[in-house]
Amino acid sequence: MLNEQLLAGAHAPFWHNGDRITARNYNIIIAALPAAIAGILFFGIPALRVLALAVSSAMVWELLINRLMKKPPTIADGDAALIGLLLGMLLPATMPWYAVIAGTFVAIVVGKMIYGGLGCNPLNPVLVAFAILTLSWKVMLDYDAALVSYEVAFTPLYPLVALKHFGPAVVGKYDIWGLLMGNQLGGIGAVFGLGLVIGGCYLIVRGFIRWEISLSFLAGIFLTALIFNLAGPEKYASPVFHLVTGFSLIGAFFFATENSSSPVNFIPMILYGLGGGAMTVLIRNIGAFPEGVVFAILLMNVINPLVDKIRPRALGRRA
Amino acid sequence: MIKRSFFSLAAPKLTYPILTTPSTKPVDIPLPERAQLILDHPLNGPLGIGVGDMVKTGQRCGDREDNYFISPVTGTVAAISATVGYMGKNLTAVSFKVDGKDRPDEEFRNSESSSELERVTRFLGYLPGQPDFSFLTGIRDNLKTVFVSGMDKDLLVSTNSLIAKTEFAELKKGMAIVRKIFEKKRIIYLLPEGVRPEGEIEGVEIKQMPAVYPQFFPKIVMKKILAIEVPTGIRCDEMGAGFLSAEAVSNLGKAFSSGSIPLDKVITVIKKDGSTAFARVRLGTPARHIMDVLGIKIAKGDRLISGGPLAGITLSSVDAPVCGDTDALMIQDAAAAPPISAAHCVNCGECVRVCPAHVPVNMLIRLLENKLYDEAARSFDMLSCIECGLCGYVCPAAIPIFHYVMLGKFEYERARSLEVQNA
Repeated sequence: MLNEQLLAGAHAPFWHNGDRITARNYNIIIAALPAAIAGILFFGIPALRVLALAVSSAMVWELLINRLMKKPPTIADGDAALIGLLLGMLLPATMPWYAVIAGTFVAIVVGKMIYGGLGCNPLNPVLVAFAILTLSWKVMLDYDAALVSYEVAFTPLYPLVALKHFGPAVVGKYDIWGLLMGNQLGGIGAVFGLGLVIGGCYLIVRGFIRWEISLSFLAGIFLTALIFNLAGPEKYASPVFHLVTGFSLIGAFFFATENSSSPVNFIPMILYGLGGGAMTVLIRNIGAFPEGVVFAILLMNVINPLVDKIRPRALGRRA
Repeated sequence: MIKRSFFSLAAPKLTYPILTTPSTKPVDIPLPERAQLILDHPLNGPLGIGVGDMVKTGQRCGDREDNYFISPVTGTVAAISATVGYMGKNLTAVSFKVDGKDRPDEEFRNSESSSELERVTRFLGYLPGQPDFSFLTGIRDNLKTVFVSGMDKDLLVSTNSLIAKTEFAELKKGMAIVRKIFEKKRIIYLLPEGVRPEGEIEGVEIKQMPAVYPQFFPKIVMKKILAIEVPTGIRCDEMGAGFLSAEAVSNLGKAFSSGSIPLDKVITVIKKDGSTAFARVRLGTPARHIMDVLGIKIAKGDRLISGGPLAGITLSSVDAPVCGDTDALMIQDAAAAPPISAAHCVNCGECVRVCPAHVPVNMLIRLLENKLYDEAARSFDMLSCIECGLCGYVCPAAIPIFHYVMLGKFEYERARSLEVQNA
């Protein structure tokens, strides 16, 4: 009798709005698909090979670490697949298999799991992996060399390298709309800018990423490039060129917005985005690398805990 | 359960229910066989009444001025015991065996020669609606504003909205008494936007607040209407504002016009499907009795909640009684319980953007998970929390954030009181 009406105890709230991390990750994967599928269409089966290998090996690495650390498997939350997909999207279609697997190892194990898994990584795991790959296998990530066998109908030069070596006079010939539509060499999922914008807008409207970060990141690139361009138009490319080339768009919508390594308060989000955008253009224009997004965002990840201290005063807090 | 909308660019807004149909009448629940009062103080020393004593309905029990209770029923005292409430608060439970018929006690009626203030402090501290008259005696001179809220704090709970809508005459009488007691104080009647009272109430200002949760929490009301921020660790009345519910004020009016102490509480019953009903019950009635009369089944593993879906408290037994502040009883099916997980915070910031008190919840939860309660209070604004539960409602990692915060507050207070003892 007593047992029949045994009640369950719990703490409020007794409602939940139904938002789950798993759903968020799968939605980000869906948002990344237009650009990824366009990449497969541009670069063919080798691109599919790289993406498939990146996604599957990332999931296997995470499962192995789960087993090794005697923790329940976490690959169902979609984060490992997402990391694999995003890393694959940065790589050229000709990336050798061992480099892809090494990349996902760095992303999952060094970038995420050793800190305690999802939510504990101080840096964006994909960018950590890409930075290590850049330093380790420089030639493989030279898009001009890697994609030399492709016959294309547009200027067969990675735009940012062309900018670095030949200056804005050469890259001025690139058609901006063509660049946005994917008429450029680069990472599998990073060339089709329009797809990235559509995916990013979807994530913003659904509330899965913070629009403040994406927009301020793009604004940071635009403003800094504009200042350079105004100061020396013969030396520095136009701001719009910077927006549609390299990893600018994929960085703004998919990397700068990674939850764990980005701020959550309004002013810090704006500072973080602007800083990342400005650093990107500084590296591209006067730094050693043609592309700056990866290192710029990693640098902003590092200062994230510091800028996120700028927050509104809590109710009733004595100064 | 209100789910996140498909388009969720902006922070979610949960709106309070606004009663539109005036025909909703509470169901009268007959007297139970047993009743129980939960007194708001630990059982230390005699209560002025013992097991086996006869009591009459409305009888003032207790021999001290400040420590008394009003018997809600006619019958015999069956048991007196110590009990523990939310946040480990020590309380006293007094059980009654109820006689079938009410025999009213006349002490309150016979006190008509006393002043209103004397009658209120002597008899009406336990009116249904739980008026907190503690500020009457202690820091009365400090008090500048009295708020009467015609809205309930939690979602789906409409007890006070119903009173505001259906008991205007009593409410008006009650307001007149409030004005007499708090002479020359500002009295503000709080209503949600779009709701107007039936008529003018002399000497009472009417202020409207957006019907968005948690606008009717006292500290938010004080900030919005009085532009006073209550510092952490300080009560609202210490900053010059007292809060009364519309139900308490209406009952105050009834007490003075009828000459007997009102002992019936209006509650909102929130059923498993989310629909609501109203019931008028005697204070001390066990929840089981109400559910039996209303024909609501409670199964093993269900939750019985005192209060609403966002800030209510689960009751451990179907015999738990209706108290003066039980505005709602909610029954939640075991299958409808929200997910809880031990996952890490992913730092998405939903909680930070939804927090009405600007608490850095994403940082706070990291300290609370590691039991760093002192630092949580000092550097991460744990004590600013107004306890609305929105953080847990939006968390995609399903971390029981609100639970962690309350545990943190409890442990922090415990450590502090130990320090004081050992100093």
